[in-house]
Amino acid sequence: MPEDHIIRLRNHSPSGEKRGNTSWVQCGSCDGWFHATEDIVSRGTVKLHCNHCHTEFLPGQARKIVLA
Amino acid sequence: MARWMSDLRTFLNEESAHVWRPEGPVALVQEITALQQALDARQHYPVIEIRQPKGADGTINPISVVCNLTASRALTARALGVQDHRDFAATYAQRTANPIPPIVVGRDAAPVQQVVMRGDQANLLDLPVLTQHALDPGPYLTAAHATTYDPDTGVDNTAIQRCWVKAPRRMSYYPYPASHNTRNLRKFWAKDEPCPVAFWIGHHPKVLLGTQAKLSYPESHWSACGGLLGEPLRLVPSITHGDKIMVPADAEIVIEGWAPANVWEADGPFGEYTGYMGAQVAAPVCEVTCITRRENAIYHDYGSGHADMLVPDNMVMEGKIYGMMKPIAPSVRRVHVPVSGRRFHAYVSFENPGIGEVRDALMAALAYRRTKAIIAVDDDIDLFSDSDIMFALATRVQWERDVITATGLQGSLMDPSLARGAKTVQKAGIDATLAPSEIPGAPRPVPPRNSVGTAALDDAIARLTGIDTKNWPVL
Repeated sequence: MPEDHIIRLRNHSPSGEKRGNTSWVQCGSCDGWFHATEDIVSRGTVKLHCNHCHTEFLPGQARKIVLA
Repeated sequence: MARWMSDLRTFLNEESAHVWRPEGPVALVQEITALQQALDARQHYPVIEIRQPKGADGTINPISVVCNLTASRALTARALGVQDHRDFAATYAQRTANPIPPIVVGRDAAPVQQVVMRGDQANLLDLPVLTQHALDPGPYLTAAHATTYDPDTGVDNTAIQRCWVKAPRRMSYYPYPASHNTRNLRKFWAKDEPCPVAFWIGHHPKVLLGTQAKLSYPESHWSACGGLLGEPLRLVPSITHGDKIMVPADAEIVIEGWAPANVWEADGPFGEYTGYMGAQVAAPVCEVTCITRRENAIYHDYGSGHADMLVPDNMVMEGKIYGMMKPIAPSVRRVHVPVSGRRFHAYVSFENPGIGEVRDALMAALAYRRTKAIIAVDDDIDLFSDSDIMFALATRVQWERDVITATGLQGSLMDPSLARGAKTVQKAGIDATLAPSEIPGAPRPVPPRNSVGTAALDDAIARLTGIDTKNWPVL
């Protein structure tokens, strides 16, 4: 899976600041965001389903992925 | 006599549609307060006017009793011209920060001195004073605003003080030990002098809320009242103390007297704001020299520990907390001090706070003596729903990370959970906001709320409108 569209949030939390734990995927068709587990994204071979436009696509075809 | 400004009567007229006047006699001993307790349980908050208050001996007192004056948040906010009670904190903070000095009028322009009873003519037992709760030891004035002054500067102070009527011209009263009135009292007593004091009862809620403004020492409350009124408060020199102690000219009743030096009497137990009986304490006494009142005076009573007293107190706290937080946390939106938390809890909402901003704000407000726990939430949470607050606590807090605790701070010593012998309290600030956004243009790394769509919800609400639901289970 190409890594250039994946942003991995830092786990380091200076001074105990709040950090969210939710990963997001941006659909390549409608640009809508939906949240998904890091597990399904990292498998690479399981098609993701956009809950906005119902397009199915592999993680490598996502516009952007933000992994928490 | 021409009326010059807002008073209790103008408020009762403004809200006449929300005043309930029960038919027939209602006993001063517990029965009036029982009405308030039952209404609180139903979450109904009309103003109550008792036109036939019945004394313990069965006689009807000719002076009407008004209570529940400020039990409703909506009515209390509206008294200040605030149409949405949720916006009260910002308005209160702004207006009390822009004080208007009082003016002094002569006795002929002061309705509260239409009737003057000096010496033996003055009789506290002629007033329709309530015995509110089963374990109260006797009748208490609960809406008596005690005005004293600092002998070093002459600056006056006013605060609500409970007063146990013990004899025609004698009552104990209880200024909280850390209060400004206690400081004034102790200064007089240190010189072995009696402390002059005047207690006034009954005014427009704007004035009542102004007297509860949390000020520095010494600082008069009259100008804060003016800020809320939008015009100078009218004062008149008291009969006993002259211009050393002024009282509101448009009040209903004034009780004047002296607290003899270093004289203490038992006071209480008394039903307190905590929802428990406060312990019996040693309290000063007031030896009454004079009572003045309007010709057709109305007696105001606050239901202690009920919405009637908690709501105005708590709304003033909201203004104070807003004023403490806003300069250091611009994202603060609203503050609610809920009746469910008595005076101990405050809920504060934030709109997209910056990193660290919520915790800065929590630290600032924890310094406020009255707070015990402050819960910060995002502005999607309804501050006026305890259920919403519990939702935020359940889903947005990791306790070790998100809770600031502090020990050894000033607070209420009436908290039944205090450690034995403790003179200070433990406090907590809870950051129940969601984590902030980290990537511009990407969602916050938190899950979205689940809900039906707006159109479907609107349709559902329309379907439910007008249906008879009285037999549906509520639990």
